[in-house]
Amino acid sequence: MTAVIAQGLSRSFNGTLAVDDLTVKIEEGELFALLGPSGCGKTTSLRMIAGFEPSDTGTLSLFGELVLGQGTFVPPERRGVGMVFQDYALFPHMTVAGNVEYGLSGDDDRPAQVAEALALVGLAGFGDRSVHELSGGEQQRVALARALAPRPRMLLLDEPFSNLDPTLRMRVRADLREIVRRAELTAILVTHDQEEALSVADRVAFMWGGHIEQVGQPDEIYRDPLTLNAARFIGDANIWTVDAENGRVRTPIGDFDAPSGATKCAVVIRPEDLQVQAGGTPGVVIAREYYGHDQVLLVRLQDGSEIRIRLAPHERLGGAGPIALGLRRVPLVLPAGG
Amino acid sequence: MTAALQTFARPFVGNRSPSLLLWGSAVLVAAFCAIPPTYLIVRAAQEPTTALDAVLQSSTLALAVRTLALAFVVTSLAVALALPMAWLTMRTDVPGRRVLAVLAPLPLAVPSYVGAMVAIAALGPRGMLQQALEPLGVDRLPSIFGFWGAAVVLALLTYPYLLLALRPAITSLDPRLEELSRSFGRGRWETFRRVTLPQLRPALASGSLLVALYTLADFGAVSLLRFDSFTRVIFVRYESSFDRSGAAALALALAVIALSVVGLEIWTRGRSRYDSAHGNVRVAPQIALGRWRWPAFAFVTAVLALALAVPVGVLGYWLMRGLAAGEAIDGVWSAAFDSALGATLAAGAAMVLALPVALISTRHPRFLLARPVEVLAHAGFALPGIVVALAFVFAGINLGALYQSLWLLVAAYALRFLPQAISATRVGLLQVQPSMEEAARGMGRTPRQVLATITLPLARPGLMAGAALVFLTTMKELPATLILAPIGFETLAVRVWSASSEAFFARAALPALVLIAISAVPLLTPMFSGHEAKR
Repeated sequence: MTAVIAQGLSRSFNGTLAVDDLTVKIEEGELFALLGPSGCGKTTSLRMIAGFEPSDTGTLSLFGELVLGQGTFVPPERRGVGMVFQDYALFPHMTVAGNVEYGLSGDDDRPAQVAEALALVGLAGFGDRSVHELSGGEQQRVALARALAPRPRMLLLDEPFSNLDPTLRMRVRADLREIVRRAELTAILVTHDQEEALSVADRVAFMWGGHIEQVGQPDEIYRDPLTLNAARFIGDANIWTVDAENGRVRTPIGDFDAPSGATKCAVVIRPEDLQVQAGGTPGVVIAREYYGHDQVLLVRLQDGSEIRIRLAPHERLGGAGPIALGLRRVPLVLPAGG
Repeated sequence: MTAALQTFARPFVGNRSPSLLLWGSAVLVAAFCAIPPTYLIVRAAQEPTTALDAVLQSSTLALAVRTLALAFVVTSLAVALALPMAWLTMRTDVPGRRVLAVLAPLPLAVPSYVGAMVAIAALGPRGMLQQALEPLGVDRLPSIFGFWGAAVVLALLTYPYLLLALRPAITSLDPRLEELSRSFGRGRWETFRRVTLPQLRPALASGSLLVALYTLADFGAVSLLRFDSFTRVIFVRYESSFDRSGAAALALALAVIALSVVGLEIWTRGRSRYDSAHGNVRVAPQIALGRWRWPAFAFVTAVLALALAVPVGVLGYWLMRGLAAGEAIDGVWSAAFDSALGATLAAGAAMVLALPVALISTRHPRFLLARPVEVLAHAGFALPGIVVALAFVFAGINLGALYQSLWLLVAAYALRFLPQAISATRVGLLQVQPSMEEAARGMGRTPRQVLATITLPLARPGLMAGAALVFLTTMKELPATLILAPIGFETLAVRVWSASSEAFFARAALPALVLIAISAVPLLTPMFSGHEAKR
C-alpha cells in the first residue's frame, strides 16, 4: 500500500509560498528523506503530513485515507503518526516513563509497552529518570521511544540529529535505521544534511523553493542530479556555466555534448571524477585539504579557473607544483536556465 | 536567541480557527469588560447638559493637568528608584544582595493610603517628628500635604512595579553584548548607556505605564494628603451632591486620559515589542562595585527604610500606643477574613476570565476577533477603580439581586485587575514551546486534553504569578470596595480608611499591619523575590 500520496499541496505564509505544488508518493515501509536547504519548505511539508499545518491547495492521503484537502482536515491526533522534533519537545514536567506513556491509550498494558519502547531504543531502566538528567543523545532516544510507543503507522522526523555531536550522530543514525527496519515502519526524515539523507534513506527527495526537484535512490541523486540546484547542494562539485555552441559546450577540461535545445549549460564534475593523468589538462596545485580518508587538491588551470580534485590520502603528497588532470567519467551537462 | 524567537513566531497547531467554546468564552469576557465604559456613556448621555458642564468647566482642565503632572513626577521618581535598585540587587556585589533582592519588591504590599497615613502620623502637624522636636522649639514643619507629599509617597510605594518589570529584562540581557562593547574600548558607563539601557527600554516602558496608571487611579493617598486629583474630585461629587451624571462624565474623562497614557506607551514602544528570556546560556558575571559598594548599600537600604521599615515601624508604634490606651482590636480578624475572601475570589475569577483571552492571543493571534477581544479585555487597565465602581453602581441598579452583593464587588475586582491576570497568563503560555503541544497532539490527544495535561501544567508559574498579583492588588483595593461592598462586608482596607481619614491612627494600625502582612506573602515566593531564573 502507498503510505503517502501528496497531490499539488501548497502553503503560503504572509504571501510567501513555502510549499509550492508538492506532489510525491511514499511507499509503505520506506525510509524516505526530504533533503534541502533551510527555507525550502521541507519542514512545512512534514508538518502538513503530521496535521500541524493545513494546506491552501492540493490533497493528501495517508494509507489510502484522505486526510487533507477537498474540505477534509483530519486532526493530528487521528492520523496515527509519530513525530520526533528537532528540539525533542520532551515534557519537562514528566519522567522518562511519563513521556513515553503519554501517547498510550486506555486499557493496554502500559508499563509493559513503556518498557518495551525504552528497550527498543536502548534505554531500559531509564523510566524513573527526569528528562533534565539525560544527555542530548538520551533525550533524542526518549523522543524516539515516545513516538514509537503508540505503534504509529508512520514516523516523522524533523532534523532529529542536528543537536547531537558528530560521532554520536553517526551511531544514532545507524540505530534509527535499524529500529525503523525492525518495526517495519514507514519513516520520513527531514534534513538539510546531505550526508545524513544519503546514508540513511531508501529514497531521497531533493526540495528547492517549495517543491521537489528530484526523487531517487541516494546514488541516483548524487551521481545523476537532474537540476543544477541539486548538483550544487548535494556533494562537492566543480561547475562551469557556459553557452552551448552547435550542441557542444567548451570547458578548460574538454568539450562535451550539450542537452538538446539548451543554450546555457552547466558542466558538473565531481572532484572524485577527476584523476591525475599524464598528458591530461595541465594545471598547478595551489592548495591541499587533507581529510584523512581522502584529500582534495585545489588546482589552477591555465585559463585561470580553479578546480577541485579528490584523491586517495596517500596519492601525490608532493604539495604545490605542476599536475595534469584527466576524467574518470563523462561529466554531467545540465541546462542552466536563462 | 533568534532561533528561539523564530520557534515562537511559528504558528501553533493547525493554525486554524479556535473552537467555538474558546472564542465564544473570549467574546463573553470581552463583552463583560465593555460594561463599564458603555454604562458611563449611557449615564452621561442621560443628562447631557449636566455632563457637559462638568467636563467643560475650566477647573476640569486644571484638574487634568494636575493629575497628569502627578503621574509624570511619580513615574520619573519611581524610575530613579527602581532602575538602580534592580541593577544593584541583580548584577552587583552590593552587601546583602540576596536579602535586599527579596525585600526590594515588598513595598508593593503597603497600600498607598497606609503610606499616606504613616506620612501624616510621622511628619504631619503634631506628628511624631514634630513632637520629638518640640523641646527644641520647633512648632511647625514644612507641610507634607499636597502635590509633593503625594508624589513622594506614591513613588516610594509604586517603584516595585518597575522593579518587577526590569528584573527579568536584566537577567535575560546577553552578557556578550556588554563584553563586546567593552572590547571596543567603551567604558563601563558608556556601555551601560549605549548598550544596556536601550535593551531595557521595553521593560522601562511597560513598568512606567503601570506606575502612571496606578497614580491616575490612586484614590487613598491623594485623598489623605489632600491633593485634588481626578479620583478625589469624582468621589466627592458622587458622595456629596449625588450629582451622578457629573461624576459619570468626569469618570469618562479620566478613562480617556488613562487610555491616552496607554496609547502613548504603545506608540513609544513601537516595534521593539518585548524580549524573550530564552536562549541566553550564560549568566552575566557579577559586577564588583569596589569603593561604591557601601554607598550603593546605603542607597538601597535608605529606600527600603522609607518605603517599608518606616511604615511598619510607625504602625507598630501606634499599635502599642493604642493597646496601652485600651483601643479595641475586635473585628480585625473578621475584616482580615473578608479581605482574604474577596481577594481569593477575585484572583480565581480573574484567572478564569483571563485564560480564554490569553489562549486566543497566544495561540490564535491571526483569528479575526483576536485583536478586539484583547483590547476590550484590557479595559480595566485604563479604568481606575472608582470608574469601574461607578459604572457597576449604575449597572447594578438594573441587576436586581446582584446589586449590593459580594458577587458584584468580585466582578468589579476581576474586571479591574483582569489585565494583570492576562499578561501573566500570556507569559506562562508563551513559555510552553509549540512543539510540546504538537508532540502531544501527534500522540493522539485532543486539543482539550493537551491543554489540561501539557499546556496548563507547564504554564503554571505564570498562572500562579498572575493569581498572586491579582490577590495582592485586590487586598489593597479601596475605592471600588468603598462604593460596592455589600452591607456587613468590611475589608481591612475599608477599616484602615475609615479610621485614618478621621486621624484615628491607633485604630488603623492593627488592620494596616495585618493587611501588609497578608499582602507580603505572595511577594515572598520565589516568583517575586528575584531568584526565579534558576533552571
